Amino acid sequence: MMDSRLPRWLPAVAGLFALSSVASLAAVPKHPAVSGVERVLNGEDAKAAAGRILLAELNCVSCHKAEDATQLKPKQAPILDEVGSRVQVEWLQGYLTSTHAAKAGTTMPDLFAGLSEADRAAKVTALTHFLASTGVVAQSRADGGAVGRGDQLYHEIGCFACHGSRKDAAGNPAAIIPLGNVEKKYTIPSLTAFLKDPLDVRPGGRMPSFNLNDQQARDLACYFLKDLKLPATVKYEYFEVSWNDFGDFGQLKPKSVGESEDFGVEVRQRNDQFALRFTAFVHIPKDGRYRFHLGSDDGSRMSVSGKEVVNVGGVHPHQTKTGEIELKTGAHQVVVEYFEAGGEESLKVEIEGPGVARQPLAGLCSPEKEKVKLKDDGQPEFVLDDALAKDGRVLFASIGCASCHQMKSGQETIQSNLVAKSLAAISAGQGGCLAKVTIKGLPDYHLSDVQRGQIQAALKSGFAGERDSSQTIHESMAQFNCFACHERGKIGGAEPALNALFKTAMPEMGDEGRIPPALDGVGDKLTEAWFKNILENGAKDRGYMMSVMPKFGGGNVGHLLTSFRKVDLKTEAEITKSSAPLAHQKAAGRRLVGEKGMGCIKCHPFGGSKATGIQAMDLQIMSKRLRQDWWYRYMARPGDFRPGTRMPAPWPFGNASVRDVLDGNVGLQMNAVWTYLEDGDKAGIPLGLQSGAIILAADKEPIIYRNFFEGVSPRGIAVGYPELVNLCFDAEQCALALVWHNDFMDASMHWNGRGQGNQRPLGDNILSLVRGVPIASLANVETPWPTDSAASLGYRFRGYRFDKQRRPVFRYDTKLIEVSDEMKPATIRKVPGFERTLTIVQKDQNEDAPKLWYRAAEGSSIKQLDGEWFQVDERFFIQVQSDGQPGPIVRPIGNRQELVIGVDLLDGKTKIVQRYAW
Amino acid sequence: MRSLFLLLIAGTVVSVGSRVSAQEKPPTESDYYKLESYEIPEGVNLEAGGLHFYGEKLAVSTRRGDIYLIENPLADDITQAKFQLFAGGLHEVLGLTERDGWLYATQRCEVSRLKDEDGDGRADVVETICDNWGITGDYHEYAFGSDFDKDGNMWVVLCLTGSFNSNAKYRGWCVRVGADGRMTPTCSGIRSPGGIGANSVGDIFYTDNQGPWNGTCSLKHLRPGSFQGHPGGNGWFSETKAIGERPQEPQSGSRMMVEAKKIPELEPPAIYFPYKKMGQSASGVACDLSKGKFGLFENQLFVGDQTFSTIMRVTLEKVQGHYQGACFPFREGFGSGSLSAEFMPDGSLIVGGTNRGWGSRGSKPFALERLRWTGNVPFEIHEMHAKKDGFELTFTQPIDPESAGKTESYKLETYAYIYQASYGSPEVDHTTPTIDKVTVAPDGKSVRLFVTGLQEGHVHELHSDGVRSKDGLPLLHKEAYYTLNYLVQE
Repeated sequence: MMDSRLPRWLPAVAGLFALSSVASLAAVPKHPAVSGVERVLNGEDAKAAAGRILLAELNCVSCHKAEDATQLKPKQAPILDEVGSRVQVEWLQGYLTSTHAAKAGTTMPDLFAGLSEADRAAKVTALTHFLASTGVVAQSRADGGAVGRGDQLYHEIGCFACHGSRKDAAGNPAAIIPLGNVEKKYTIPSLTAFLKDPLDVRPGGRMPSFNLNDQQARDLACYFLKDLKLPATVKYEYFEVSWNDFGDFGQLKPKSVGESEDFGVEVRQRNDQFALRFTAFVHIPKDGRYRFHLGSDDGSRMSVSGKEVVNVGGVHPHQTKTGEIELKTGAHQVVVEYFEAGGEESLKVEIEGPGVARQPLAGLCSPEKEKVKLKDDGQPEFVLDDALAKDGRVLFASIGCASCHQMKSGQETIQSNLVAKSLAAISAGQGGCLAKVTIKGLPDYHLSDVQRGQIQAALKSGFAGERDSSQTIHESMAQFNCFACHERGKIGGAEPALNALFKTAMPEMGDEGRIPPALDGVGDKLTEAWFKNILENGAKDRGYMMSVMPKFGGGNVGHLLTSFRKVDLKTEAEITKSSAPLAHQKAAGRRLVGEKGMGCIKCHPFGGSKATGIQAMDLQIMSKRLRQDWWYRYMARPGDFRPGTRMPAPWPFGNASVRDVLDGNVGLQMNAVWTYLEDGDKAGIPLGLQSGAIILAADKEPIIYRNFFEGVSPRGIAVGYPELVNLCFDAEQCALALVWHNDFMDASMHWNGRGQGNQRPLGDNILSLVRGVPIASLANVETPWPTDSAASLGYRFRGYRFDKQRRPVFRYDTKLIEVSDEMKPATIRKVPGFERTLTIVQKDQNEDAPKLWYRAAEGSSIKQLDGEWFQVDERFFIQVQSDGQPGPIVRPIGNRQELVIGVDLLDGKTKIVQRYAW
Repeated sequence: MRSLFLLLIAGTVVSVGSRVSAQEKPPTESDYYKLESYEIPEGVNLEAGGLHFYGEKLAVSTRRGDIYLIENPLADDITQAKFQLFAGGLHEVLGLTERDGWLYATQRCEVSRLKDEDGDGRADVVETICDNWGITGDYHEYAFGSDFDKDGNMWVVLCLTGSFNSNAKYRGWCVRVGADGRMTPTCSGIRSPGGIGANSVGDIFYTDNQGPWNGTCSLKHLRPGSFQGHPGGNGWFSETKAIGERPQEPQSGSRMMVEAKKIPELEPPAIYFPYKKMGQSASGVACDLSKGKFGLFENQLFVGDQTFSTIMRVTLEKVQGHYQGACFPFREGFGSGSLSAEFMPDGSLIVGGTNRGWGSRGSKPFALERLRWTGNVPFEIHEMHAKKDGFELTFTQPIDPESAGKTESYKLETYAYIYQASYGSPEVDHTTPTIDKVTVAPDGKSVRLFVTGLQEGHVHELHSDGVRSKDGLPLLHKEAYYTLNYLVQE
């Protein structure tokens, strides 16, 4: 007989749940709560749809197989593999005894309804022992800071949208998802683990993951379990003294002594002029080196096994010091001494070590050498009974637990041997689980009459045929409670009672910055990849919005991607294509986005660079996140898409407000901005976002800036020209290293502080040219270009001389020749470029000169075009002529190509002209 | 009633205060040396790194790479000075000088010369003279250039790559650059220079700064072939035999004079500037060759301190063939961090300042100032000389024999620095020698201190608080710090 093995503690369970604090939270439903259904599928016409969702949420198809009901998306029940290490055993016992009494609104049925008290108790006990055999819960205590942070998180990231406010429970809407008695069910470590990754044990995704970090998860757990009472862990003596530093405790008689649950000043009887001495035993789990963090206002010190570890003596504001000590497994005596002279008072003692994250020391302490049980509910301790657990395992398979819950016992998953009618066979839907009276041996879901009707309607309508995409979206949004945050088709969105809890970091943005966006047209708006990622992993794209889009998991909501796209997708924007080189379009786009253009950067940050006003959506993710077609339509009329948005129309009524870029052509400007945004985080920072910039610009004549540049040797000489072309000459290699368009240089990197770092040019379309010496003697046309340094090849940089327009003409020489190298801005192939002239003079005309070559370009592909033009790597165009020489030769070097041309020194003097367009 | 009473009290205090100041206020530095600021035009960022009197103008080069020519720099009315941009776009110019009409500029990367050929006031040509040293792009790699020496060489000191390493050729060396651009490696062992200049006989000195192998800031003699103490750049001996073989590695944690006895190339600092007493960042070096236009300190050296925004004074002598001597506070209150210093033909000392990257007591981001002698002679120690049995002090004014002759008027202590690879050093090995006797010279212008316990290799810090001039004035600066590397043997 099972009855004879009933444990002593069982009768107390009923009392335990009578005291449940659930009662303090709003009005709780007596039936399974499926919030989204109750809120948006509550009409007569939606009965069948609501019923279908209930069939999924109550997991009816786990027992009642239904081949044709594939669209049901049943909610997978929690995985129970290690439930003993997650959930407190007393709670399991109570929950199994009566699921609805333990957690009103649960979707888990009562399995023992209608059984005799004794029979139920026996079965529950066996199951409890079986579940408890999978592990033991760890305990630890909450700390004040964590509770406060957890409170803030709960009411910020969006927990409240489904579970309601925990501050104003009375004001919560009817259709919230109750949490039950969390503090009886979990401990801080186990709830922390659950919140960190809810999908791990509840893969159904009805509780999505908020992608919390360890601390956030623990903070939330501490908040839920803030009223947890744990037994004393330390002994204390309280003294009243007037010390400015430690005196002799031995000379004092304590004013009071007692036990406390923590090392803290709470046991004081006045706020100034007192001292405390705490003694306790810390139970070290594992040999190793431990760190003790002691913080106090005023002085404190601590010793472990008689050895002083930390000393924060003296009178001071709260100050923390850390000490380390090697400890063996087992109990060690800890003494913490503390005194307060005047003003504020505080004391905090923490431990950190192998397998022990930094936490309050008291959690590992007991007043005496013997460990104390951290739970103190007046109940005898649970002792696992293997025989009972074995009985429970049999029950788990036979009564249907295994039909819904995955449970591994050893290596194998327990299979349910409960056989129920197929769903088709119960289409009448009057008896069985749907019966109004409890039937012995059948699960009791506590369905309401409305729910019964809904399920019956669903069964009646059958499951044949495809659901159309609109219905799928609507029903899935109800099923996963998306409507708790998002509106779509004027349905759902923040509940009026909870609306004010949605907050923003950017109040100037109004509701737009606060309330999660409506999902109308979202399948049209977002790119497939971005949308998919949101459904699978959640998102935090809106930095200004305090709520977070949680992770529901691809297996649960991934199907919505297709549905949303099917319903929403449009391709109807008029997209102007430009024939201008891509780099020019990007440069125009960058200018339009920046402060000299439309000033998008006033509100939109760019990666790490903050916008100058509010911080709206990041420009760097625009092109990855938004569909180009949608973006074009949105840009034309933002208000049509987001009524009341603060986003102004960049091209109001189809007109360009910036007329000096691309001749004010709206189509080309839109195209330019989009093309620029397509570079994402590789795009140049828009002008106006360089914080603390010292902008150098050529005014009437060229400007020179010599410093350290990205991609050039430390002897770079940058020149900006009024024609808005720029170059950087590398004096170490005597090479033209970089050319670029538009803005010249930001000197702030070098002109602030000590000036460490290599500066990237400020402008656009930065082109890196061939490096190495420009002219070399080659044995024949196949000889590889020399790679030695210019100096070792006899080159010497000689400086520069200004011409009449104050353009520098660079000069360098070798043992054989003198070169002046002149760069003139010119419009080449209709774009701003350079014409470069190298004038070469032989130093000693009587000497026999070896055959010299000039290298004009290098790249992976050099294509010859019409009119002696060459295109290098699809990046730029060049033309090169050398007096008295035939045209240049494209020569292969390994898997790359070079463009070289001969240098004719027959008259002791020659000229090479090279044109660059890019 | 009450307010009237308070008014009466306040009136009394004010009148007493003004009477005290009129009668007893001792003279200050500004009574002897007047500090004036050039009015820097709006938009000009004059972080002055190099100074040179060029034609009738003052050439000023900046850390931002500009060179300005200032007209009327010596006008009595300093506001008459007019700025004109001569060249821009150079790389942090920390040295200016001239030869054959060319203005020579030491940039981070090279020595260049510039000339205005068409007479429009702006340089038309920037010619590279020497770029034979390496540079990596690290901000530490400064280069300071001197004037041309009597042999026609410019001396350039090259900062290490950071505090410890030399990642490009000749970082941590001094090189000489000839007229033809030929570069001769001249000394190794340099850490982080702050300025360079010649003394009255043309020997070249530079300042180095507290850090690895430098217990405190110092003034060092660039004796050709010498090792200046920081071995970080000594790897480059593999590239040159210009100054012989690589010297032996010094022992970290030792003392300078212990190592100097083992390593013949090691030249100990001629002057230590005790840290946080004299300054924290020694900088520009200028020698008073004005033949009295700057006062009584002819042929002495004036050295800047960037952190303290000061100019310090240095007297040198040769003992056992090595320069050593004393430093004294001279003038404080410069507007920014003193960096460059240069004497003008009229005996004015021009000081350029910056506090970018390194803070200074003078709070302006940059400054250009002129220090002129007012004609009043301050009561100062004129020179301090080591003797076999003590020190000799000469004074700028006749002394009161009674106060100057008492041993109690002086306080002497000594200390050394740890010579080590890690950053800086505290003062260590403190001693307190005994001043046995003081004798006053018959002319009343010098004293001899007879001391037991002189310490070789120690700074001897002397406070002469009790000494009075014949007119009853205390010394304007009572402290003197003598670097006694070598004892006088006679």
